[in-house]
Amino acid sequence: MAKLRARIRPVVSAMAILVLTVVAGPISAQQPTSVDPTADAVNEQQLLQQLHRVQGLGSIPDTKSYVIEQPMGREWRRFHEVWLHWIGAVAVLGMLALLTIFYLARGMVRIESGRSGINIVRFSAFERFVHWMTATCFIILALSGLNITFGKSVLLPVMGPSAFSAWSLAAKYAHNFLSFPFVLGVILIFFMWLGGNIPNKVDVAWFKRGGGIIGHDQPPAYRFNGGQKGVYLIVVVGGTAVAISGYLLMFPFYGTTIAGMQLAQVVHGVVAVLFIAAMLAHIYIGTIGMEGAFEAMGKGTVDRKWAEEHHSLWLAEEKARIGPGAMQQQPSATAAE
Amino acid sequence: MRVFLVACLASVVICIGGYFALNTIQEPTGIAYAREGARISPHWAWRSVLCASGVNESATKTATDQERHRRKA
Repeated sequence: MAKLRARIRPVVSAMAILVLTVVAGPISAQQPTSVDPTADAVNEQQLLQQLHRVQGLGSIPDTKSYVIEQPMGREWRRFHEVWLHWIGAVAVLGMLALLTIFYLARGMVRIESGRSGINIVRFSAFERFVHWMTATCFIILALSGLNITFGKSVLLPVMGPSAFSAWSLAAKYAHNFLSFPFVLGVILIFFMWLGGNIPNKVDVAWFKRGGGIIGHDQPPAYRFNGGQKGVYLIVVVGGTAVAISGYLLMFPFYGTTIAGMQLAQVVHGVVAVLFIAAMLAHIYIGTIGMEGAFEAMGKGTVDRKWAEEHHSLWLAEEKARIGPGAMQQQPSATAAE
Repeated sequence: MRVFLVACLASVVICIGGYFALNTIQEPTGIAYAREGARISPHWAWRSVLCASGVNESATKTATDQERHRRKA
């Protein structure tokens, strides 16, 4: 029995080695492709869930660049790649659609009693200077800002990468540096027209009667009516919001963190597109929406009949101040410049 | 029209003034956010093209030297 066992043992051992070789062979052959030894180390999602951010160490002076990923970054990316596009498109295109429908339905608001041929000074040269400085800067800021949000999807396919890159670079420089005269204009507008833009009971009545735009009523108003006071408020509040949020972005990390700058960009983007939509309405009523309105900022004067229909209380104040005789002799060329 | 043109001119003047004012108090990003060893050349920055600074001159000199060396080779 012992002899038999001694004879069988090498055979069993040989078979065992053979079986092990056959079974273990394919496993070792599969190892390089089936096992990723760094899988756990680079599982970003797992790291993000556990640490709330992915960050490491670096050798450049900017330590903020060591943060590679943080949850708010994803939310912010979702905002400026998806939500801001929708908010901007609805606000701007929606306003354009509304104004088109309104123009087709109402047409231009005419001077119903006809022109008198007598001009009254409405805005001084300095007021118009401030208005146009702010307005021209605003238009360039709006177009270059819309390019930041929509340019990639709207202009890039049309212009091609080289032209779009050159245009975007120039637009970004213009966006940054034209902010200075724009903000100066907003500050001057705030102080210059503050006195005339304090809301009062006349404005409530003006709104109740449709402001002379809806229907053919001509509610009285002082120098600025309820709608113009609304525009003033939008310019001052909206201008301040885009200025502060814009400068936080323009001077990164001056008193802000990445999260603070993301919040600033959200505020800047949303306020800016709403601001643009509101200014489209302002441009509409100041040009094709109302006869004689553009002259106020173009030449500085308005026809007396226009003033009677749209700003009767202001006209009465002007008459009391300079006298009706002096008003009639006011030459428009002197008033304009 | 004259007021409008003056307003446009004033915008451009303030814009350019702001550009040069910021250039005097800010460092170009190519210098501010890179160490000496990792910096290839700050010459790419527009402001370094417009402002003749010591850094710009050294970058131009380096580029000229490299070009000369390449021609010799």
